Amino acid sequence: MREDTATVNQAPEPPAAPAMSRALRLRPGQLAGVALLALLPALALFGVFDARTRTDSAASGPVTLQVSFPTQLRYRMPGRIEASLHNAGTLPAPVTLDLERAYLRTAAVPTFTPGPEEVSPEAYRLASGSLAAGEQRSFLIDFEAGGYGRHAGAVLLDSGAGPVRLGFSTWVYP
Amino acid sequence: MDTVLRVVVIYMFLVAALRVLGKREFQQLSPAELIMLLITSELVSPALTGNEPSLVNSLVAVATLFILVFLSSLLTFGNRRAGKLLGGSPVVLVHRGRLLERNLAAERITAEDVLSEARKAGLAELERVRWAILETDGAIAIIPEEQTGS
Repeated sequence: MREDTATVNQAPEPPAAPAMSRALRLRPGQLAGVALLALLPALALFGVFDARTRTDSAASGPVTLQVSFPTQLRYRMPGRIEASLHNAGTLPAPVTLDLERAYLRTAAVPTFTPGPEEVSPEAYRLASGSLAAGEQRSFLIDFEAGGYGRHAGAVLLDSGAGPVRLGFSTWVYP
Repeated sequence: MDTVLRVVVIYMFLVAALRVLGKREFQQLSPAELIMLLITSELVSPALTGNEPSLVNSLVAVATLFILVFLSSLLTFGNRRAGKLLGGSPVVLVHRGRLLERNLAAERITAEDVLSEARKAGLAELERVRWAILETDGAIAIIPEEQTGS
């Protein structure tokens, strides 16, 4: 019979598990699932879900319009549209610059710098009046992406030489 | 409406992802798997409640975590040393009725803890324990003297 409170300090090894092949054999469905699962972080690493911006430009007579806008955002991510006007002519040009309201319909807290001169059901009027020769003006619209999916809009410029519509769209990931 | 959609998407994603990982994760928890379960709830709960507005962010985070766990399990399956490094090794607490004090002290387990586990296994005295082994999932396996013979 052993002692009641016997203790030892040497650690014997418990019975070892039998040897087995350690070659991996995943089922096809599992393999496909893992590949799909790995796709998300892989796409994220390559910046697929990151915010992206693009800059387009158009001209109406001597006035050029350049618009920088987000092409994709994630839900509730801050976005910014930057529109700038430049009169490359030698004479002052009358301009009106509008931003379609449809684009910002689902956006949260849009902020205009400077503030819109006029708001109609269809558009925000960003600028009107005369643009001096060589003058450049910028307009910032900050907002928070408020709805999933594609949001299309346009900036409309008229400088007396015929209206120009510069369209853009933003894809918002959930 | 948005909350319902978020819960549906996250639920379906987690069910599918856990199904992909296999049954192993439900049976026993290695340190990596325990971390996975603890972090998963932290990652998805803000997306469920809307505190972290981007569902894509949460799904990417959970997918990354699950892939890390899957890679860890590949490593531990394919390489015994890696298995010991990531998952730990079983520790003998009692052998043939004798307490292994050094191991008990290292694992911060008292003789009372071992005896308690022995009683749960139907053994009233340590003398009747051939092996008491602290498994890598934290459970203490009790093997009675009678079952193994010698």
